Amino acid sequence: MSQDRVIRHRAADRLFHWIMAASVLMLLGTGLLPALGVRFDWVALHWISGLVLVAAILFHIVRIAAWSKLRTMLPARRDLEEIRAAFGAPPVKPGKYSAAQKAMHYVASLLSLAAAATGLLMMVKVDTPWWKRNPYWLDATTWGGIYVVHGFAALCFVSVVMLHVYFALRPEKRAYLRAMLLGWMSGGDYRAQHDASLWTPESAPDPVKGRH
Amino acid sequence: MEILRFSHNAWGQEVLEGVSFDLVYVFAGVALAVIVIHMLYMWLRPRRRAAAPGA
Repeated sequence: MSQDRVIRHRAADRLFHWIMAASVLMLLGTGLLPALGVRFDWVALHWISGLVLVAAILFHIVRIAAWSKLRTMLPARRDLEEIRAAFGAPPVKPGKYSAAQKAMHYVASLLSLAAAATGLLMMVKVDTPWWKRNPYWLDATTWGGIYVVHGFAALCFVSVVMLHVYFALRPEKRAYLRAMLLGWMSGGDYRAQHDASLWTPESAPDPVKGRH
Repeated sequence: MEILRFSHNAWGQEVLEGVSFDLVYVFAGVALAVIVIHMLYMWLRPRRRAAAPGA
């Protein structure tokens, strides 16, 4: 039996997503649990997870730049129409990403970059295999500002992760969760939820026949 | 509840230490509130549509 499926996320993009998810959860756990009184040796786990996140972000940036994949995520007039539709205007179908998905991506990107940039600076104050800590590299006021940005990004990530997991698990979003796990969405979901004039995906290989 | 954490250095000057981690409960609480409101909205929406005239 032939399967009607389209490709939504390539393996490299799914790998990036799940590596980012694992590293963000590890960073939140190792960063916030000690502050809340849970005692364990968290410093090495935290900076190693941070380096994994930085590597994943760099991989993602290079990938979207090299393959011109940014276009599908750019803000568009259709996003405003989608928002109006949520308040009673006629419904519209998005391209590859809905306004809500774009908003989540922008917030996560901003928080990731802020946390990663400040985290890399804070590594100057940590002993690593490559250097000894130097707490006097910047003055105390500057370090304070860096800590505030890093901590605020972490706190925002708590909200973002909770909301992201909630919406990913919603029954009406199951097609997107499956696409992030397996890469494909059904042709029915694609036609029902997306505007084909704005996003024309490739057909996924037929799992039975092993071809497109 | 404090928003920022401060300490004092060896000269008695106030030094900014970062955000207060007590705020984690605020951020988690706000997300939880949004989730509960959305769940209620999604749960009630079909009933309101069904109850609407001409639906």
